[in-house]
Amino acid sequence: MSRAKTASEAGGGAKKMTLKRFKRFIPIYLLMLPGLIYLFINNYMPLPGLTVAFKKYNAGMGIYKSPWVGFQNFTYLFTTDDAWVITRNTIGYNLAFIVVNTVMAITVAIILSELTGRIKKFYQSAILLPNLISSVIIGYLVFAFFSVENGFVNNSILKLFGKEAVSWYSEAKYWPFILIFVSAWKSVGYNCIVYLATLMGFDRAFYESAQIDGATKWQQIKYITLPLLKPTIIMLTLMAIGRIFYSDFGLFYQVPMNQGALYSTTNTIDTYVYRGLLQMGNISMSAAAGVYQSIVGFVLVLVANLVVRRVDKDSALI
Amino acid sequence: MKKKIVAMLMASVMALSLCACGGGGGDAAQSGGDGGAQQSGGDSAAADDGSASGEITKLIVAFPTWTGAPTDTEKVQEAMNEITRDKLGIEIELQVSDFGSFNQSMTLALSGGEQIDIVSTLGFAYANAVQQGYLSNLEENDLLSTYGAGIVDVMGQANIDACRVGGVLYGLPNNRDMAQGRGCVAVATEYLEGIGYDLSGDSEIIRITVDELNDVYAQLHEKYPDKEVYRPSTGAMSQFSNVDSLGGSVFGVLLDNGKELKVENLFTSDFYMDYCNRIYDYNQKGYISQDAATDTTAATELVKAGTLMSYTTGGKPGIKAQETNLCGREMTIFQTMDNYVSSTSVASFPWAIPITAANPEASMKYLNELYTNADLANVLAWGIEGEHYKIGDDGLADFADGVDASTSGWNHSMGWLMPNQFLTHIWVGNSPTLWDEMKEFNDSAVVSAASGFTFDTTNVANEVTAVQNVYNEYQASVEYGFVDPETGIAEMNEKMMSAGLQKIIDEKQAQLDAWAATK
Repeated sequence: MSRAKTASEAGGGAKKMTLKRFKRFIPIYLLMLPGLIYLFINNYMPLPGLTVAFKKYNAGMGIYKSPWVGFQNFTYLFTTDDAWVITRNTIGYNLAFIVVNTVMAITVAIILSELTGRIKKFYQSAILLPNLISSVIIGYLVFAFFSVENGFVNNSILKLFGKEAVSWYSEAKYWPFILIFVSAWKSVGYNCIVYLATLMGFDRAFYESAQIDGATKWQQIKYITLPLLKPTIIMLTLMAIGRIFYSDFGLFYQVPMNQGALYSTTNTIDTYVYRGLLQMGNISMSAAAGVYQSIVGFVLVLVANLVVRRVDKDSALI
Repeated sequence: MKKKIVAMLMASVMALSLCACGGGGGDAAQSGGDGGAQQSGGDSAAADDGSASGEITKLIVAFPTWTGAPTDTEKVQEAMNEITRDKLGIEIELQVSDFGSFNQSMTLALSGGEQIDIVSTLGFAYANAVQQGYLSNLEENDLLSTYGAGIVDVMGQANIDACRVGGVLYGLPNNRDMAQGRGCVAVATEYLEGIGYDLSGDSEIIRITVDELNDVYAQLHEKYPDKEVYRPSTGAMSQFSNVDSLGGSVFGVLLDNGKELKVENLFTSDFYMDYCNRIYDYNQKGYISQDAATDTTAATELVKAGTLMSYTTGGKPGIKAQETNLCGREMTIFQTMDNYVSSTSVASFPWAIPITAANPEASMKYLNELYTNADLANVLAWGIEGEHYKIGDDGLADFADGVDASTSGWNHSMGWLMPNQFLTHIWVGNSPTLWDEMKEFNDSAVVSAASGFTFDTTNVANEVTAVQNVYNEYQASVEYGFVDPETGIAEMNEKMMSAGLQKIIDEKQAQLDAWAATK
């Protein structure tokens, strides 16, 4: 990204866009065309449909002829105390995921990059495996650990230490830890792929000269690996911030087994909307939730980018 | 350049959150053209009324089954067309989806203007479908009275009127068990024998009081301490009550079998407190598994596995055979309350003609045939005689030779969904007079004063969503007996009130009064 930026700045600033220049880049524009057409059809053509969030949708009349109702479809998101809880949960968990999962992914990527041969392939596949398991199954794996009557934790671990059994599925306070753990376990394998690929691309000469200068492994990581990784970390984090208002539906719905008693720490915007609208099937209200999430997500990315630009101009996206 | 990419990225985020609801219903009638597709094989010489012109109208009939389209759907479709091709000049195409995706596929098809001519509203919530404008008025241009007179004869005007929403008829009820035996539990017979319970009576459903039931449970728990006595479920409270949940939600109900049209708050009623206290007591005594709220395994499966002894069910003729079949063990049915027809039961899942129907007259003619023609109804319900089922010496239907439940190409077990089940053969294992018993059961039940009332949630959509979320949060802990009802119900009620429960109750009362005034 940052290399592309400097190139385009240099090009755009120095020369005017002439027909000759345009002709020279025709093959590149052609290469871009399929992607642009796809983006246009898939991402731009439905945009007028956003209006459905401000209408009382009636299938007989269609989206464009249904009557306008202003912001009425949005009010249900804010009518109760739940509005605060679901917003806090959504942002809080996502912030925790960004920090924990990034740290985990980088750690694992560095460790993997130090390994060689078959064992590396094995570890890489093994830690990627949870990412391929459906949330429903993960929900039952977690249940196998925390089931009150037959769970592994209550029956084996707590008993071993002579502790009382805990009814995990009715005590909300434990779930932030469980969910963050499950999320890390599930996503670390996938997240570390990008970091690992970047790591493998680093010039080995840096490390060789560091070794000659007598740098320890830790010093190599601290002064070579992490600074080189910084642009990647910032980019991936910015992209994650863009989705901070969305939550992994499977993780928050399936893993706590949709338990009402756990809502105070497991209810997020997505699960709230799903549960509320499951009964009513109201297209306008679900669209309203989607619009709200995308607009807040968009603003957050702009703000985060602004902050990044203050700190390190080259790493910012825009 | 980079700005563009980022802009696209952002836009994609926004766009992805939208469902692709293109077109709308504007081009609804567009598909009418291919509706009248020419049929080449007009072989038979019978050229009477409907098919006089030689044109065949093609209709699409959609309904769900639990598992999706059976393997012999096309054969059955052809067998049905054999019957109606010459008589009505109508051919159909069956569009069978599995229950889980039916709602979504219907929403997409209808909002996209795809031709659907006849639809079952099971899983495609009738009241919602009406509010979203997917269904057409069945009395427009005297559609029902001109082409559907047979339907009115079969169902009776009162049942038809029960399907009106805001005075307009959008659906036709189907003939089945309209009433529900309230307060029923199924208990595996072997455990009852184990405690020496007297089962000598020959009635299908044993009437007892709640105290007697508690006593049975106490004995069961004493004799089989390792087995779970009772497993609550989300629907158990409604099934074990004389509450009429108006419009299908328990936010604002009629108490006491709906004798009076007074909408009340269920959660402050004595009934609710008593019910929750009883379950809380069960839980304290260890009748209920500590995993009951988390474990979503069907109660019948747990009985089959031998870990559970009883669960709540809805009573009706044939229930003993049904539950015995589901559990793989002989079950005994106890009933503690009345048989009851609630306000929503008649209009639970009517058959309807969507706005995208190519030819509503043909749709109504075909529906009329489904309600009145036993041959047609039997093919739809049981398949082709000799291939899917056979009629035994006792007059009951059974699987055809060499076919069983798992190998039959048409075994959807959705007989109760079909327009007129009472025309079809009775399946083996049931009483030979099942349909008469069913009619008697329907006719003798207590009927809610609000029968036929449907609730339009438009004005309180926000409140319903918010209150529903509160209910989801507390239902399992309160109704499964995991918290003390004294504190749990009060807390839930307080949160519901701040989420707008009173507004829903007031709105229901207003709509109910307006509905009653027009009767």
